[in-house]
Amino acid sequence: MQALLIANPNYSEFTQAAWEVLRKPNLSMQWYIIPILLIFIYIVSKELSEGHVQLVLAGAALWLVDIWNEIWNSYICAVSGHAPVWGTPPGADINGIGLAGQGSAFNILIGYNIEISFMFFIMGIASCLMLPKDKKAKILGINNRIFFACVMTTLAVCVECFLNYANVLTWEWSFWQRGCPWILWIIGYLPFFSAAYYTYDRPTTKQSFKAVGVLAALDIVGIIVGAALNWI
Amino acid sequence: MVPEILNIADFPGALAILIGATIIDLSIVGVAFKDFLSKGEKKEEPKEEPKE
Repeated sequence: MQALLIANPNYSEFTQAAWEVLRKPNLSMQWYIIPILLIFIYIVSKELSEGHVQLVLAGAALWLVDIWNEIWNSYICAVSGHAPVWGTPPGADINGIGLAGQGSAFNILIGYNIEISFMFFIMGIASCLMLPKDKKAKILGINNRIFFACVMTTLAVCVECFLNYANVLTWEWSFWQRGCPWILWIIGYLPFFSAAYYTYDRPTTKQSFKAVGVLAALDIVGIIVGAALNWI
Repeated sequence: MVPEILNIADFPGALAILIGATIIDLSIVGVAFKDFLSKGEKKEEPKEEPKE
């Protein structure tokens, strides 16, 4: 599949580097992604075999909210003509721009790769396994769902800051920097865990499917619009 | 390499997308938190016996 995003000479070096491997597995694919795929299949299969359908749907919810963010991140890259809010450029081998590591096995969008995709689905499942069974229970006087959403968001932002520090996740906008991570906290991760816990807590599996369906519809519209405008 | 830091205010189109995306993201949080709080604070009130 050819990249739809049109190359722009004004793109930053990180963006140019990411663009060059965007949806080009022949340039980036690596074997390690196959065992990760199998680990993912094992986790989902095990949970489904034990009847934990809503747990898997919670993972899907977190994954879908992240895809929504990745879509608008691509929009910002295309519309600004300079850079995405976050980028996942390849490693030092490409363009010699001094980035760490070897990059992703497969860049799906300008700031989204196959590793992130598997990671977020599994994160959704794992974060719900931590929740108390009692939905009403309070921790430090706070509803436990809100408490865990805030704690997990904070931990995830810390990991993001480390990835940025390590130069595998590039941030080129002033409002999205390690020095001011609160926007990243509020719209980067809090919606992820909120959606996962909301989906997990639905009274029926049908309602969980409905929640996931709404998020999937949002993503599908975003992808169609982005593809039509060559923004993704 | 140190990248050039961009200011969103210089890119109105990107700013509009960011605002729209933020509204949707915060809506997701709002719907979920409303549900969490309603469950966390909801108390069953004893039903009143109908007066005869």
